[in-house]
Amino acid sequence: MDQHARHDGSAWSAAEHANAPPNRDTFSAATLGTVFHRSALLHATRPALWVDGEFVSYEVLLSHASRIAQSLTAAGLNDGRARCAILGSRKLIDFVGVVGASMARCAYVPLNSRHPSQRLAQIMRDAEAQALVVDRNHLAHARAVLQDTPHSVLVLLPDSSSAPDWAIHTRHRFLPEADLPQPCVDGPPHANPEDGAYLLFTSGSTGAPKGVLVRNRNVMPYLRSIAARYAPRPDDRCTQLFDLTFDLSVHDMFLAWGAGATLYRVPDNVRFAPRDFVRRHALTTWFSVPSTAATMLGLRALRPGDFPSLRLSLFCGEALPKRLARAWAAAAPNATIENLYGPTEATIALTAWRLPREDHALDALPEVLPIGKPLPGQGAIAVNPFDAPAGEDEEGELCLAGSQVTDGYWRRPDLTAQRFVHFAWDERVWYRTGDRVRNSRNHGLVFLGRLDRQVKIAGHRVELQEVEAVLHRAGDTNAAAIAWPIGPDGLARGIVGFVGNTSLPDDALLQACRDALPPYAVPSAIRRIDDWPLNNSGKTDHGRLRAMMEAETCSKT
Amino acid sequence: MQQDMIAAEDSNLLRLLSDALARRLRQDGRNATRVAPDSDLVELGLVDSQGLLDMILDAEEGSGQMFDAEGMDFESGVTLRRLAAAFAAPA
Repeated sequence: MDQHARHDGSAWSAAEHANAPPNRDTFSAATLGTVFHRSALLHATRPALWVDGEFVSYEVLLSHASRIAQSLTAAGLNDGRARCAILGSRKLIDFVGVVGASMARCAYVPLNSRHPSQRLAQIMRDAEAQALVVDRNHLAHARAVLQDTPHSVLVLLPDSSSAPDWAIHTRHRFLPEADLPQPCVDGPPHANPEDGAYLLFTSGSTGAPKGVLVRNRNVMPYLRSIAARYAPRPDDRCTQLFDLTFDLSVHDMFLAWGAGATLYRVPDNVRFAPRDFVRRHALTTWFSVPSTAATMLGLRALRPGDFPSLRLSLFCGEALPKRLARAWAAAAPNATIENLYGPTEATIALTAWRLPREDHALDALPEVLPIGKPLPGQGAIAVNPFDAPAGEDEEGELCLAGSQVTDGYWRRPDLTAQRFVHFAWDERVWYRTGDRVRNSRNHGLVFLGRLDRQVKIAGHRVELQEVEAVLHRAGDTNAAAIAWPIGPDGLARGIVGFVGNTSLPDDALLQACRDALPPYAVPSAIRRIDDWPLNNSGKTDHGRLRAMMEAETCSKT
Repeated sequence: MQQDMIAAEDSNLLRLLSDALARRLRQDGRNATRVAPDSDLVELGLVDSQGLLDMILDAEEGSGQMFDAEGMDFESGVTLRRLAAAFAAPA
């Protein structure tokens, strides 16, 4: 990487922000790659990214990304159908990889380096990613992933001077930095809205992660809606808290970059309580899961008046408790605060709701804040058990329609048929979210819970059946998982695993989970049950397991 | 004298935090060997946000002292020693 292209942050910000040209039609572009390219030409010398203590300008990010894009193009992976995996942990190379793949019309597939190799290899296989971008700090991890990847992969090493020694023993082709093409800042050719933008894998109830391919024709309507709603500006300084495996990171990156703003990659150590970070950099927009704010509140790092620089605060990924929103509103007195809602299958977020500032209006709200109304051109409706629209103040399953709704699950027509459906009363395809909502007369859609066994841990989706499948395989016995404990704000803090008779000790069961599941899905404790609770249908009685945990908690307090 | 008192308080908090971490690791089925006071708990993957919060609450309960997030420079690393130093003296 060209260290000379980086600048001192404070001097740069003052001079460059003052002369920032207004954003015009960047978001009318057809693809993410074109959004970035247009913005990079418009805001070339301005800072696009703050990462690991240094700023990276738009022109430098474009230059680095163009080498990735050209490598993929030279390999014939630029037809809008190829996939390029990116293995890392929100470092500069990961952002370069995202932009490079997007400019090459390649869908990027983020791989989180904190997730077990076994899981990442499975995603590489399922995605059939033809390329992989990896930084030098994650080569050992890449080795473990690539040795279990049966198809040949083009491995791009933008910050490695040579291929690792072990590369020669693999079926893969490695391109270290010196072998990458020289930078070229020509725009993405023939960018097409049908091109895949990114392919994300989420927890799967069958025991394996399931993929969702989001096309540019899905994500661009979202960006246009949200850009019109929040009017991001070149002088905005935006938080970047989400792992790239979380689709909210797409909002982070491309809303900021499309506006010519600066994205601040919040360091891992600070993600717990980024109070000082936000204050020091005078950030103007915040986007996190409510759990981050809950942790800050718990640490007493969320105090009235803490964040005067924030003009916008967004929350998404899990239910937003009123108590938390009220504390945030006091901490960020100048911010517009919104609760966004949406599953990966409907592209980042599809509904939005604005928090009122008046106390009396806040008092009248339910304890879990509403998720609001659909973004322009999208549909969100509660559907009753007879597949008809629920009436006013009735409950139902939230179903979503519109251009943001994707085509279905990656190579899983069976799952797609279950969840992406037609109703007699509408021509569009509707995605059944599994979320239970009330169609409130006063507040719009209000989230009530799940119809299935999916839970959110710090905003991450976990299908409890996936955890159970791992425990069952490891222990060869009955297995169940429940979300526990539930905090005072109603947010689940973790997962407890239950097993029947097995000779496998707890640490071996937990190790099996760590080998297969992302960290947030690994149970924090194992409970052994001699007399396995069954319901009338002969299935595991999860209600009784939950009652056991409640009784255990009560006996401790 | 004042310095000795501060050192003693820090050492008590270090012990409380270290015990809380060990309990948590044991609960997670992980080897609960003592963690050095200057090891970065996040970098080592020993705590997540909930784990950190639980540890701090345990130490507050055990010491009667309050954790002061303003006294903690998270960016320099989350270590037992830094956490202990961020506890305010009892009022």
